Amino acid sequence: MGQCRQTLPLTWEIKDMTFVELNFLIFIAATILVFYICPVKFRWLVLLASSIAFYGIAGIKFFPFIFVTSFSVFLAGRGMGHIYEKTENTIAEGEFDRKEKKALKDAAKKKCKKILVLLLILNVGILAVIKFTKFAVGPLNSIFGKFGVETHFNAAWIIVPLGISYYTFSSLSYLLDVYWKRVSYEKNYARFLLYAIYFPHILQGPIERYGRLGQRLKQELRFDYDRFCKGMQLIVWGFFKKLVIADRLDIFISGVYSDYKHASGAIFLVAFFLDIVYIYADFSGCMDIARGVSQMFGVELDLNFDHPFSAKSVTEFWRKWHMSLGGWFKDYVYYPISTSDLVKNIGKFCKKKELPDFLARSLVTVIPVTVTWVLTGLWHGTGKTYLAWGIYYAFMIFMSVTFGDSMKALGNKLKIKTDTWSFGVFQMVRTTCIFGIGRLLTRPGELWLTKYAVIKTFTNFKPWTLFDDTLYQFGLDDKGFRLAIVAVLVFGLISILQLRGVSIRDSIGRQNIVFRWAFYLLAIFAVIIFGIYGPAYDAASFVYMAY
Amino acid sequence: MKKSLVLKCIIFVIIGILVAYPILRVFGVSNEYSEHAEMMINGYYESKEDSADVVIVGNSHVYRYFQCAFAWKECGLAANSWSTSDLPFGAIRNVVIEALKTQSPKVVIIDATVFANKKDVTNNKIYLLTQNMHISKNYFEMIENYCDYSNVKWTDKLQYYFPVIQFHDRWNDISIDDFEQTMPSYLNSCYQEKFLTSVYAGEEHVYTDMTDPIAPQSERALKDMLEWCKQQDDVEFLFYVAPVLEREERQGRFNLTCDIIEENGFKVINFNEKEWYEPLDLDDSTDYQDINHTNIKGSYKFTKYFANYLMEEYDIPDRRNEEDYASWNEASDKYYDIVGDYIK
Repeated sequence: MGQCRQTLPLTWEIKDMTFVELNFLIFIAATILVFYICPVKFRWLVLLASSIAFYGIAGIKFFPFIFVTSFSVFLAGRGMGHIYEKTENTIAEGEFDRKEKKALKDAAKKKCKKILVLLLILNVGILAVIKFTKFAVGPLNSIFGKFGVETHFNAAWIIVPLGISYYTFSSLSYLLDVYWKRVSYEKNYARFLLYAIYFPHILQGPIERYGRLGQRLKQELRFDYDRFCKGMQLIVWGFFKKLVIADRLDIFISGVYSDYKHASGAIFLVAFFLDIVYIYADFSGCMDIARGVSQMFGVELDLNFDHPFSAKSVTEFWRKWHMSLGGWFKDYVYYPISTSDLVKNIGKFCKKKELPDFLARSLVTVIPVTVTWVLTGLWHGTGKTYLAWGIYYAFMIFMSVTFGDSMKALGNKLKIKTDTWSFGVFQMVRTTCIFGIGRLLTRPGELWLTKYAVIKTFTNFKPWTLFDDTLYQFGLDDKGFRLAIVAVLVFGLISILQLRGVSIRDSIGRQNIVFRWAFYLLAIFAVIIFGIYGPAYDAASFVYMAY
Repeated sequence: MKKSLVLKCIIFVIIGILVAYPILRVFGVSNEYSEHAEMMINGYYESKEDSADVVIVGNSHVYRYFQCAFAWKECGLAANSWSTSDLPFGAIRNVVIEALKTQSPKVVIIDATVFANKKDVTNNKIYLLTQNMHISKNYFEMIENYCDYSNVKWTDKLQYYFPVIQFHDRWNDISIDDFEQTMPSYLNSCYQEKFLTSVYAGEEHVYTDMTDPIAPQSERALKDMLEWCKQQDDVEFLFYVAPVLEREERQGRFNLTCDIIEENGFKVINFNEKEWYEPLDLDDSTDYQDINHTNIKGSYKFTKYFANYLMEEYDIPDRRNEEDYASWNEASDKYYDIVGDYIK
C-alpha cells in the first residue's frame, strides 16, 4: 500500500527508478542542471523531456499505455471543450428563450457524456485488465485444458506500466472536470502529457488535479534559492524517514510475518504497532522526496499527509492520510453516487416511510460508502486482502455515520468529558488502532496469517519474549532496534512540533550559516550511515582473508 | 541564478566532501579482515623510495610464499612485495603501476595465479585495495578497470568509489581499531599463528601437462596486462606460479596461464613443474599449511631458492652491508625473532 519499494536489498539496475535508487538521484541532478541552464520559457519542455526519459528508462514497453491514455483523454477533453464552446457561441449569437438554451445545453452535455463514458470504459478498462487479468490466468488455463488444449498463460506476462494507477486517475480527474466544466480544456497535448507523467509524482502520487498542477506547470519556473534549499531539505528528511526508519522497521515486520511460527503474541503486537509507523514513514517519506524534487523545479505538489495520527475519527483520518486519493474518491466516486438518482430515490423512500433518522442515514450512506471503499481497497491492491480492507473501512465509516450521534448521546449520559486532552488522546489512539487493524488485513499478505497473528496475540502472548532477546531474532538486532527507536522519537518530536505550527525548515533557515550547514551535513551523514540501502555488507565474503 | 549562490553551493559541496572523506572512509572492510592488507600496503608505501631491486605483486601466493625478510637475511636480496588476499585480476595492472611509483626495481615479479580463474566473479577483496591505496588517477583507473573486467556497470560502480555504500551497515561495529594500523609492517604473513604452526599432510604434489580453460575476462585481463608489460622499457617482468598441492584441474589452469604468458614472449616459472619443484626441496608432508599455501617452513625454502635464483639470473648485488639498508637488517631481525624457532 503505497510503499516506494517492497523488497530488500536494493537492486542497482538502471531500470530501477524508484526514489531510493542511486539512478534516481543522478537523474534528478542531471535534470536540474539542464533545467536551470535552459531559458525560462523552455523549462517546461525540459520537464516534459525528462519525464518521458524517466518513463523510457523504466521501460520503453510502457510507452504505448501512457500515450493511449494521455492522448485519448486529451482528445476527449478537447472534443468536449469544443462542444461546450460551440454551444456557448450558438447561445450567445442567437436569440433563444430559457427553455431553448437549456435544451441546447442538455444536448451538448449528452454528447459530452457519450464521449466521457467511452473514455471511462477505455481507461478504467485498461487499468482493470492490467490489475485483474492475473486472476483470470489460472481459470483460463483450466478452461482450455478441459477442451484438450494445453495453454500456459502466465501472470508474469502482464505488463504493468509504471504509475498506471496515478496517471490514469489524474487523467480521469481532468476528463471529469472538463465534463463538469470545472476546468477549461487543454489545447496543447505536450502540456497535457507533462501534467499526466510529470515524473516527481508518477511513482507515488500525489494524484494531482489538472486545475492545480496543470496550471502550476504553466507558470514561469524561475530559480528561487529559498525554495530550492527547502526542496533539498525535504528530500533529505524524506530519505531519513524512508531509509532510516521505514526500511529498518520493515526488516523486523517482514521477519515476524515470514517466521510467524516463532513469533509470540507480544511480538505480533510489537509488529502491529511498528507497522503503523513503518507505513507512515515509508509513504510520507516518499511523498517528501517527490515534493522536495518538485520544489527544486519550482513546482509545488499538493500535500498528501497532514499529521494523520492526530485525527480523532476514521473519517478525519482519511482527510489527512493520502489526501489526494481520498479527495479523488470523494469528488469522483462518493459525491456522484451520493447525488445519483438511485440514492436520491432511496432518500425519498425513507422520508415517505418516515423511517427513523439513523436508519434513513444508514440506507442513504450504505451504497456510496461501500462502493467508494471497496474501490479504494482495490486501487491499493488486488486480491482478497485488499477487498477485505475496503469492506472493513466501509463498515467502520458506515458504523460511524449510523451510530455516531447515538454514541455522542451515550457519552453525554455517562457524563464523559469530550473536551479534555485525555479524551483527545484516547480518540487519537483509537483511530490509530483502527488504522492498524486495517493494515493487519493486508500486511501479512494472506488473510489466514492475519487470523493466525490475532489468535496468537490473544492466546499465546508470552510478554517475556520482549525481554529475553527473542525480539532480536527477526532480522533486526538490538542495536538496530535502539537506532530505530531513536529515529522514530525524532520523527515523532518533529511531527508534534509541526502540529503546533513550528516550521522546522524556517527555523533552521534563520540560523547562522555555520550551524545551518553543520545541521545539513549531519542530516545527510545520518541518512548515508544509518540508511538501509545498497548491497548488504557480507562479512562472510571477507573471511577468506584469513588465508 | 546569481553567481554568489552558485559559489555558495560549490563551497557547501566542497566542505561536505572534505568533512565526509575522513568520516565515511572508516566505513570499509572491518579491521579484523583488512589489517593484513593495511599492513602490507602501508608497509610498501613506507619503504624508502627506490630501495628494492625486486618487487613482487600478487595475492596470497606472494605473502604465503615469498618472505622478503628471508630473502634479505639469507641472500641479501632487497625485495619488496605488494600482496593482498585474492587480489582481483582486474586490478593487478594498476597495482603494479602503483608499486612502480615509489620503487624502480630491476625486475617486477607477477603472481600469475591471479589470472588462473575458473569463473569471472566480482571480488569484494577489491576493497582491500581501495581502502588502503593512495588516492590518485591510477586509483580511479584501477576501479574502472576492475569494473570493466568484472562487468560492473552504471551506478553499481559507485560502491567501489564510495565504499560507504556497501559498508555503512557497519555503523554498529566500528571500533577504535578501524582508525589506526594495528599491525607492524615487518609481520608479513606471521600475523597468523597458523602460518607458523599448521601442517597440512593430506596430499602429495602432482605433476601434470594438461591444460584447463581459464575464465574469459581473466584471460582478457592477462592479455591486456601482457600488452602493457610489452610497452614498459625500463623494467623487466617475470611471472611465476607458486608450488601447490592442488589437483590437476587447477594446475591445468596454471599451465594454460603460463602458456599464454610464454606465447607473448615473457618468462614464466611454474614451480609446479618437475624441473622447478624438485630443487625447492619441499616436503609435502611438513611444508604446507594447506593445499594451496606453504607454511613458514615451506616459505623459507621457497624464498631462499627463489631469491638466489633472482640474484643470479638478474645480476642483483647483495646489499646487506650497505649503509642505506641498515633499517632492513633491523626489520628482518624483528621478523627472525618471531619465526626463528619455526624454521630451524
